[in-house]
Amino acid sequence: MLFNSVQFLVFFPLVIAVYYLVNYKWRWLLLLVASYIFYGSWKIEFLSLIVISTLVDFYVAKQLSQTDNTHKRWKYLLVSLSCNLGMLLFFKYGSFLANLTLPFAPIPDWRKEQLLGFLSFDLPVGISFYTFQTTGYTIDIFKNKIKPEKHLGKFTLYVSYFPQLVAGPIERFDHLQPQLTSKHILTYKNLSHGARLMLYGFFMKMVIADNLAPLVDSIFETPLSYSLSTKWAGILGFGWQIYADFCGYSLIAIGAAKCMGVELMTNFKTPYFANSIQDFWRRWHISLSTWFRDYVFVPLGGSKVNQFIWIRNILVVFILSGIWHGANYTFLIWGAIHGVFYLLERFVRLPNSPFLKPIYWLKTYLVVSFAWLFFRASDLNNAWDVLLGVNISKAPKIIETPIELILAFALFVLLEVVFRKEKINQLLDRTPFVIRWSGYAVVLFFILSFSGTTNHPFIYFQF
Amino acid sequence: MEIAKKIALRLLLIAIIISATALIYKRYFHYNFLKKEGILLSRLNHSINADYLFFSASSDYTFDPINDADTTRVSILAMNYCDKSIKSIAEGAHHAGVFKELIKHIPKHQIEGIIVAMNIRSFSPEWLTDINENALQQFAALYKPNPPLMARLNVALKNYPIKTKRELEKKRFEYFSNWKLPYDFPKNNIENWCAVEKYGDWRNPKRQLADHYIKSYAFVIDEEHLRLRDFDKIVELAKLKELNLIFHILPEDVQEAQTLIGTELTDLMSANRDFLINRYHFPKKNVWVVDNLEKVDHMDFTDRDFPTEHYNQNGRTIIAKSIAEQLNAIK
Repeated sequence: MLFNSVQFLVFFPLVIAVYYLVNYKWRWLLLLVASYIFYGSWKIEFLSLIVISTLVDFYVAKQLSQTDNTHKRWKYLLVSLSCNLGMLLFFKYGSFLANLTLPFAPIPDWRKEQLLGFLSFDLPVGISFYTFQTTGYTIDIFKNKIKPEKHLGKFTLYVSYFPQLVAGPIERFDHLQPQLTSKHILTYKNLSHGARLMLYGFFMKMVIADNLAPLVDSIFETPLSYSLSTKWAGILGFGWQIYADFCGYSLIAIGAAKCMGVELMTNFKTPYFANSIQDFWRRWHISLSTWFRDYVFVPLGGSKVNQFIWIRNILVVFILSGIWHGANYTFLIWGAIHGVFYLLERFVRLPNSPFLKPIYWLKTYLVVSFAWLFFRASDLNNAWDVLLGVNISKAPKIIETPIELILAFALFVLLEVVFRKEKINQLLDRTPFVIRWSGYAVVLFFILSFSGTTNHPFIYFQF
Repeated sequence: MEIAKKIALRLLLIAIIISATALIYKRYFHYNFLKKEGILLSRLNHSINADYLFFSASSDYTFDPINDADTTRVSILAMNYCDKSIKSIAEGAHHAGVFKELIKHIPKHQIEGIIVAMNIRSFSPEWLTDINENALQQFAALYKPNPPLMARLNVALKNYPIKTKRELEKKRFEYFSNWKLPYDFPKNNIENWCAVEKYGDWRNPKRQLADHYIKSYAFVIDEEHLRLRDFDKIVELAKLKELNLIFHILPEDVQEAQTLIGTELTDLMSANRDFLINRYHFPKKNVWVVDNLEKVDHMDFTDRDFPTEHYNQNGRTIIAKSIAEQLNAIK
């Protein structure tokens, strides 16, 4: 079930109403059923994967808590990692790896075709997110950082909590689980704070991202029909599209949880105002970057190693986070660009002057946008065509940008500038009622009247 | 109690904002939106002054403007042979599933009737599972007779069936193997039937074309066929709105089908045509089916590498005359 769907607009208020009506002791069960309905609405078969992941990690965590034997503990951890990462590898990279290796396999061609056919299926929605979440849980148990959940039902809810199930934020057990089982009272503040975040999230996704999507798609699908300046506008446009799409999703998720009194972690902090790549990663997809920091970078030695190892660790993290997005060289290059510029910034120390900040900002924005080119391109040839491909037609195609999109985008940038300094809810809490509601009216007007109409699911669903 | 009051007040405010938005949108924005993204409904709104509305797809107009001496549409050509005014509501690849939503917008007693293209190929598994079907479902959702803002929101919230490419492919292969044909193996279904024995390897362009013809026409339309529901709805709507209804079966390149495959395929095409005529041709109920299936010669089809319903000027004129003949015959 998509957030921006009629089904969700019926489902969500219903869940909230029942949530506050039932005794808090049974809310976990309600949320669990709701979460499985939410996820199962895509494809009922996908539920089996989440069930497998849940059962394996529940069992492994239990076993880990019962033994101090290092050898055994490693064995249990390996079971969890192989199950979760194995599922991820199979569904996400199976087809790619088969395409790479099958040509050399000593089996008949028809068998190769059969295998490739078997491996070409729709990627289970959100598989990267919930496998990372459960893997993080098991590693934390392994490191004795947290105690395991003893209640299978409540643990199942932690893995599948519907607001953040399919595209994050990737939550840590010790942050989310106590909130899911504690008593939340219906307060106007929670409802209004949650609804505000959801409203802005819908605006970002439906008005900004969904209107930019067809323009960007058209440029990336036939780059040689456009002039260089239009293509660069397309690259910058994609940067805003993916931000509005993903941050919009996160805000709806955070807002939905907030309505139930649950605080999810912040996933974005106006990333396009970053002054360096390091700063960008403190603001962009925070739940994933902190996950990689805690479960990849630190175990590799983190910063407490010699410089050579440290450089290797940084590059591994960035390249892994690139490949996490999918089996394509373009994602690898995207991660590598970020990694290389991150290192460059660390080695080439620039003077820290307020006058130079706009230059640093511009440099960061251009590097991030340049990297987006590879993220969006279907392959390296496509990236090349968008970047430098020569226009073969005499008259390059022109992208017509509707006036309502220009107005919506201006409003979006304005709001981003405003929210850069202060969180949405903090700012709105001290804004007079009439001004606040006038703002809601404008945003709602844009959502109702100018939402994009082409079929573009959330970009991060495919990861 | 306090919180209930607060929530009720906010809900009221939201209702007021939505109502105001609906009014503003209808007054200032919907017209432009339809011109851009709902062209057929926009066209229909401007065509209610004609005698007949002509619902069709790319078969209405030329696909070969360079070689066509005259690029006039079938719907316009038909007016040369009868005294009715006809306006075209046609857009490439559209089918009855979209037309039925548009017909709902026709006011009662405003026009005499409607002419609806009946494309036999649109009954094929290939067409039913084409990726273009998602876009057509989107149009159908937009054209439903809802208030403008709601119609737009239906589309923005993707309130219509969407299938992924893989799901559609899977469905297509299911149809290919499950739809039975009245022949023995290997021609008992589309999956088994291919033109390998006649043209050999698939790299032979003739083999490729022959296989396209099999996939496009080798099926049996029966009472259970999904597409019939759309035509049934159109009949129901025409009756409700007291409209004359003319279905015209689009010409297919039967000669090419005969040359490439043979009578086994053309027999199926004829049987499907007969089925549609028997099912829908009821002049007493003001429903006529004009049979144009074999009226256009192979030479008057403009595409050579895929079965289509694209005709040159001569082909379009033949269809126009045939439709006009039927219009003249209606008392």
